[in-house]
Amino acid sequence: MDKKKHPFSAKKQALRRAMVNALEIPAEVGLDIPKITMTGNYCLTVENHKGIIDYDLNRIRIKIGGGWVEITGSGLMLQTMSREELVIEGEIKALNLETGL
Amino acid sequence: MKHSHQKNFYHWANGSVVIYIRGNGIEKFLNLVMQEQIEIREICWQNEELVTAKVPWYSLGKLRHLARRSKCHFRVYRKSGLPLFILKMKRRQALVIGTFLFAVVVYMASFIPLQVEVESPEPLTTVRFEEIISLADEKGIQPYRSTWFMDFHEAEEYILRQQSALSWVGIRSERGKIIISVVERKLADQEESDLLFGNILAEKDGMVDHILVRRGTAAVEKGSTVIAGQPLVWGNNGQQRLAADAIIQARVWYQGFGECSRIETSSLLTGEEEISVALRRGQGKSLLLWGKKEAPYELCHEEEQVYPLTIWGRWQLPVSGVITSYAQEEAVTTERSSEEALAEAIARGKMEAQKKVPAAAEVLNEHVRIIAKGPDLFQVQVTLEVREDIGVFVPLAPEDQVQLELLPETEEDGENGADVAPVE
Repeated sequence: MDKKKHPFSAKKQALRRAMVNALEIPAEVGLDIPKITMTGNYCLTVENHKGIIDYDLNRIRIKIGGGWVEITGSGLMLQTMSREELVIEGEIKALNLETGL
Repeated sequence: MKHSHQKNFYHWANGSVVIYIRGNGIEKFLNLVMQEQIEIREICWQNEELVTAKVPWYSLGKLRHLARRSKCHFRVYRKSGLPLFILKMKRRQALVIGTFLFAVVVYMASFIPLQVEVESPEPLTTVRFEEIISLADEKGIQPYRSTWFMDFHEAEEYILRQQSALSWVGIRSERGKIIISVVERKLADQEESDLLFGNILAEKDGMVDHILVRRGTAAVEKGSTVIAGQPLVWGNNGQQRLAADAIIQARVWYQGFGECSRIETSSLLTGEEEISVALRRGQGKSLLLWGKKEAPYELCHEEEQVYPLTIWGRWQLPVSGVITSYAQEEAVTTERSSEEALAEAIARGKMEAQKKVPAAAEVLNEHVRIIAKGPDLFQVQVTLEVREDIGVFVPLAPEDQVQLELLPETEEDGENGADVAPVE
């Protein structure tokens, strides 16, 4: 079902990007995409997220618009969790982004 | 992260609890908490079925519903923050009252002095400390008595009235002590004896224009030409030696030389500047840290500032910091007409003469003498005539006092006595 929608959603996304560029709206607001900020390898902030999928000490999967982000490392802790942002602290080793955008 | 202190205070003021979350749907529980806009933080994974987190104290009621929906359960592990502290204190009222009473007692005790002391900037000669303490005691300034019941101002006045040898009394309470500060009165004859004997001498060459003698005997009169070091007022009045005091104004002349060429080349700063920083050991080699070693401009003004390096301002290091600034200059050729060159030479001469004139002096006249009026070079000498005080008091050494008595008496000595009226 998703596969059938894909061509249309791609077109829709392209149109939205064009509009966001034209109107000079911040991309994370206009396109509903996450903004990920990383400080060194110990702090990662995900803005505009949709919640967490999995969480343990070595891996956190976060749902974002059109996919998910996987953070792997050790001693991972969710420092702050709110609807606006999610702050992860710990030793971050890898960041995997899976998105259909 | 930016306002962590404010956040910490906010969390403390609102009260927070550490909860243990157990169950299979922990992620679902966390997402539901987030959806409900409950601020959950420091979520830490402990094992497969246990996660700890901090949540606001007031949100515990909502969390129970969310835990039920996500098939989790949680248990409060620890509570902290202001509301919880208040709750705890409400249950232990005796502790609160005891702490409050203790604070009140400590506060009250701080008003009770344990001793009374007297201090004076100089050793007292006519009054003893015990006498002052005794007088203060009569006015209630006593140890082990609260300062609330003491009137410092009244006691100060009382001690001053009773002890005429004191010129000032101040009472203050400080670190559990009452300190009575006193200053002993200096007797008038004692002050007189402290005065120096001495004459007034001319500080520079000039012609006396105005003389007003307050104390002593005038040695010159209006119109006298004096040279530097010449006595102007003697420090005696015939019978008695004293410190001469007078206002003596004289006309003094200052000269300045100025020259200017019709075509002159000078250098002007362009505003470009380079700085180099180096370390230097004594007067020896320098180690360049930053900037250029040589002057980067062909024509430049070089200025070097040496900063001795110390550790915490106490131990001086064997090396000094040297900051050298190179200010770029450019050569500028100025062409002037004969009139302009002469005017410039006069201005320079005047400026040079004015540099020598004291700030308080009054310029009376100026005279310009042209030394050279060549086609290219103009040289002038500017003389400024000013009126200024030239008298300077020079105290006499004890051995000179004898000689002073042998000085011949002038006319004023016999007539005027101690304080002489203006001679002018």
